Amino acid sequence: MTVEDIIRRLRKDCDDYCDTVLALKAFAHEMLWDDGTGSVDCPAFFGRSMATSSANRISPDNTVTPDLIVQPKPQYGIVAEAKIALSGDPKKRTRKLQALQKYDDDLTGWKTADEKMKLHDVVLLCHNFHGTEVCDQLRDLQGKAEITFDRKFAVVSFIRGQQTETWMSLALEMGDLSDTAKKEKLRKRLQIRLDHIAANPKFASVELYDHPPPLPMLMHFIEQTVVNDLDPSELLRHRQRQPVLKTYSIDDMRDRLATSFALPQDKSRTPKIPKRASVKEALEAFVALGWAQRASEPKGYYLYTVKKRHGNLFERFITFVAKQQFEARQAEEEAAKKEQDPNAMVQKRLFAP
Amino acid sequence: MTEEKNTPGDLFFSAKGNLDALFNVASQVCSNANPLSGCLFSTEQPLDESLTYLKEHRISKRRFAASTTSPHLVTYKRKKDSSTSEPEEEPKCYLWKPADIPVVYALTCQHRDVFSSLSDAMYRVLLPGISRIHLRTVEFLEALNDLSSGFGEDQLRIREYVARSLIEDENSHKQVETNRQWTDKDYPAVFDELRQKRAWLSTIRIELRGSQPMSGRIGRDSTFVCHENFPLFFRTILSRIAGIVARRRGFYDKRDRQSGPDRGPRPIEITYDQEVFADKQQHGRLIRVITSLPNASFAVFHGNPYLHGTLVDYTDGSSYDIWIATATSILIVPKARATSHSLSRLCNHICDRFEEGDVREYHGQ
Repeated sequence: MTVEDIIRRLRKDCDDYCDTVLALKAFAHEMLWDDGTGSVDCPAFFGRSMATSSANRISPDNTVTPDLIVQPKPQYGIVAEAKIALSGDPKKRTRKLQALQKYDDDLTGWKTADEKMKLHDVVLLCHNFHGTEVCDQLRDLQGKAEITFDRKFAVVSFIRGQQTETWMSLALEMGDLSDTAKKEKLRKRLQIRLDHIAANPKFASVELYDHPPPLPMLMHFIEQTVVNDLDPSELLRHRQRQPVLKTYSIDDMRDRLATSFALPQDKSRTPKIPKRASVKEALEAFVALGWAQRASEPKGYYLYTVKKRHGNLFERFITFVAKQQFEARQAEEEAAKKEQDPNAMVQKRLFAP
Repeated sequence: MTEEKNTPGDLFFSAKGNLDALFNVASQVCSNANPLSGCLFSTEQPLDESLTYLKEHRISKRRFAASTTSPHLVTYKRKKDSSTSEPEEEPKCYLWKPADIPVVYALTCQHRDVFSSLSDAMYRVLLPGISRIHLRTVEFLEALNDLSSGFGEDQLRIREYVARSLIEDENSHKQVETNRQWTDKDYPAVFDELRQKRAWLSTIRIELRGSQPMSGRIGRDSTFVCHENFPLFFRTILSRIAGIVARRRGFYDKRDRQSGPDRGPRPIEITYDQEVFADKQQHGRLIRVITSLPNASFAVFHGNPYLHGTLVDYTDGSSYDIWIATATSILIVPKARATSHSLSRLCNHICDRFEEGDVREYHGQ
């Protein structure tokens, strides 16, 4: 695999991630839309920590984080999980599909007075390319009683389309929804203009969901967050072409990213999006790039240098990460070759302590 | 021997006390040989606070001095250790702010280039508290329509204008051309020509004839030069431009997430009469235009068939998502921070370098 191959793969990963976020937003946009009155002011959460009951078939007395919670009515909600591509391994795919049953439960954590919901549906959002395959497998599992849902369960596929306008299409591939009007709209395939989704003030800012974003994307979000964070005196120094140093801990940066790119919610239900490990990886990448350094004191802090940067930074991050991955792969291959080299093995045996 | 104020500059910068005194010397000084230059910018802050901040900060080791009473004489001091043989002209201007609108006037009799070094330095210090608001062609027309209702169309003439338009030749390496016309036409004829050519104004020089002659030039970036009859120029044209600047600032203000109700942004769109983006090559052109915005970086997530990118403005930390999802419009979604200055700068850059469109509230139509 060449660096260019890795660049192409990273671009595709970033594109897939953006498409998945768009699909979640499109679904939320539609579920919170009344054809008569327009957008309804009801809760939606892109990731929410919810508690399962002791009767949960998959994960009892535990915490789950669905990708999307929508509450179009006071006593009706939808739990949605997005999977742009399920695994190529049938066994892994089966496990992922079966895991959806954890949302078929009396979950606690809804935005209601008692954090309970009288009625909710479970929805799997998947890419249109995989819709048929996923539905075939689900029907097979249901036929063998290897997957069951007490609540209404539906598979909704998404795909981006274009004529003179670009839209996100949602389609009901199988299953049922409690809202029969919405079900019928989805059965007939629904198109939502991309600008309607992008401009929805309720979740225009959401760019992260409960899946680690590709490293170049997270680096881009960090750069934005740091620049947004400059106060007036720092901005003045920046305009005077003086570098500005900002100090962040991993948790500090994680919280800022969550505030900037995810929806705000009550603290007890705010999931850890993005994951701490992802943020650390991104900050370490900035250290390798020369844009940040690890602080000697206190430990676990990073000093980020804010300077005027030119060009398409996102492309720079993609190229940098691709080169890093290529070099790491080469180093692994070199190490593997040395292990297998007969001369090296003899040397090792002769000179072993 | 009495000391004479023997240059127009000496006379101009000797005005003290109040606006009437300034307008008095301005009308004495202002002529084709000694035009008066200036600009308008918008700010909600009291001018006294801005001037205090200006005096406390330096740019390129130079400091500002400002008088305490309005109109305030602001000077951008020379470097102490300047080794040039000729004394460098210290940029100076008067600043004042009317009580009723959030606009500041800057006025000088120095050369435009000397004044721009001062105004650029002021912007760099005072951002993001101040906004430079850019005018669109329709707003130039609005100001002239208003003006002509008081004086009659036949008295108001266009003597010169600079306009940009798209180059239709597919083999051209340039997309936009700039034309300067020296002319003598009534303004409706000029604006009709602009409409037919799909051109947009950069600057315009107007002349008012009759019993109270007046002439001056207005730029898209709210800069101006007055060649004759400054008090009338101020009362007629500048005050109207100030009203437009204040209104546009209100339009661009408080659109970011931090300012919006329920922490939601208020997007805007730039729309065109024609399906500009039916040709996907225009996406690439828009990317190149936005990328050329100074002191900003533009990250493109997706370029074709739809465009999605994020712009970060390093002048004040503003950021935006920019989308093309229809053939006739550009959607701009402000993010966590978006100042009126930055938003005006971005919209003007697109309208001036790509093609001028209608900048308006996004309604999703």
